[in-house]
Amino acid sequence: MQTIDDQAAEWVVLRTGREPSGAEQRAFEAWYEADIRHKGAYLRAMAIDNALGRMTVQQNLRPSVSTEPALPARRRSWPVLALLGGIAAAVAIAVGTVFVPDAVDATELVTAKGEMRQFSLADTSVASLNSGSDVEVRLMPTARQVILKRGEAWFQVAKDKHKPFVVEAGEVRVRAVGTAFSVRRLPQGAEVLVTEGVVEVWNRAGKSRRVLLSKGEQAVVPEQGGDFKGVRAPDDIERKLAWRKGKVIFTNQTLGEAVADFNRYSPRKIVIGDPAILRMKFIGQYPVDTPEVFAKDVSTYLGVPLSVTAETITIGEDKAAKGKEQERNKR
Amino acid sequence: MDPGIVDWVTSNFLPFEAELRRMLRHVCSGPAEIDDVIQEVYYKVLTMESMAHVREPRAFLVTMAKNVVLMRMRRDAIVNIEAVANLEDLNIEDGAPSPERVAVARAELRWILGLMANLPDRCKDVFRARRIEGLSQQETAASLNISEGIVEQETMRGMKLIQKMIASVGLNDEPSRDEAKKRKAGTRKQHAND
Repeated sequence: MQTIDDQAAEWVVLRTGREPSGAEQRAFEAWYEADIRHKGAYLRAMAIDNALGRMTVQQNLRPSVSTEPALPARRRSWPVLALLGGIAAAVAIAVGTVFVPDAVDATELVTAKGEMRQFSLADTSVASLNSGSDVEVRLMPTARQVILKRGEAWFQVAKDKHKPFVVEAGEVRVRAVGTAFSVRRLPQGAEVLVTEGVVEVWNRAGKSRRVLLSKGEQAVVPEQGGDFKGVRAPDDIERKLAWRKGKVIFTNQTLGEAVADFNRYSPRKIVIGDPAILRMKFIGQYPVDTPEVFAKDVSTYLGVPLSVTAETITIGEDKAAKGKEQERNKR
Repeated sequence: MDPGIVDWVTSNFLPFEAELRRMLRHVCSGPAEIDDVIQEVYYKVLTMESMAHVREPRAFLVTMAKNVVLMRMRRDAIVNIEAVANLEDLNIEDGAPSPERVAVARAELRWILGLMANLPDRCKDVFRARRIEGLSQQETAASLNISEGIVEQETMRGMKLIQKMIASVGLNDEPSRDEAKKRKAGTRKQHAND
């Protein structure tokens, strides 16, 4: 198939080489008016013809190149680079041994908001804590008990058949032998994502049966009984666990979800001025500590203002705040 | 079509087009979309009343291209927000003074002659007669002893080849460096005049 640029080239050759017939002229006009891209491509082909024509008149140089002084170049640095150090600089708080009864090795692992950190446990298991999380690990002779008090953690569990590894998230229980999975506390339960092997999930309070989840499956387990089931969603799991690499990834999430995600990591909240834009969907990825960059991209895309203060980043005009201000001005 | 606009495009857009296309790779979905965007930018230039106010043609063209891409993005149901970031990053970084205008005209001429040198033989003969010697289509047919129809066909073929070359080789490109740039396609910034 001919490209638009090829069609334009043909029309220019035909029209500059000889007198086109009436039918050719009408065909040209129909083509030219059909699409703005045709008009653009025709201008381009005319200019190419013109450039070739300049070879003939070279003795008579008539350059039309501007000799106006160049404007100073506007340089802009890419802000991501400047912010990448943020995670590394975050303060890690690992409170050492808290409570040591006989043969129990209890350790409390804590991360601050905006901090992600990986911990090695005494049994060679690994725990990665997401922002604002609190985990107590109790290694006992016959069991490994992990209490997720707050937030989200991913565990790479060292194999040990004699010591089951059980995560407690409120009333929700997740048991693994040798496997990797994450547990995130939600207001009404916990979300479990399995990245390797198999885990057994149940709810201590309710009468729900025990559910086996294997690699690539996820489930939201309610705090108070009720049935739940595993859903296979490996891509979604990978996206949700991108925090382990310091990233937030969107693969068709709404602006509302994206903002909630960023707000997990930053003390500086993103606020959407106009709720009408919350349902817009996104693809993309950012370092977790760059909400300003994300907000700037969204505001550029929408062509709405962006205002940044110490506490908040507001995308679009904050109508509530503006109303108050106007009222103040009236007085 | 306004000859002033055609002249402006000849001197300012054609030699820069290949570079602009390379910049657009980071924000367009593929070659077909780049073609669309470039054509729309030409169209925007066509609709301008005058180009006299444009002091920095390349920066102006980059801005036009950004606007076209942004308008296209706004029509999409799902926003690739990273492409917006790449779009914001799309800038001409060039504080170098403009070269002398005679030097620019010579460089342009060398560039166009270089493109023509890559045409197949019969095509090249037709172009030499038509463009360098300034013969008409009829005179060209007579001097090369071929029909006028063949002259037209060869001219169309040559024009299509040259328009493709202009899409990939700009005024400031040499073939070897063009290859180097392709290898570096993953880097975000393309330098205008290095």
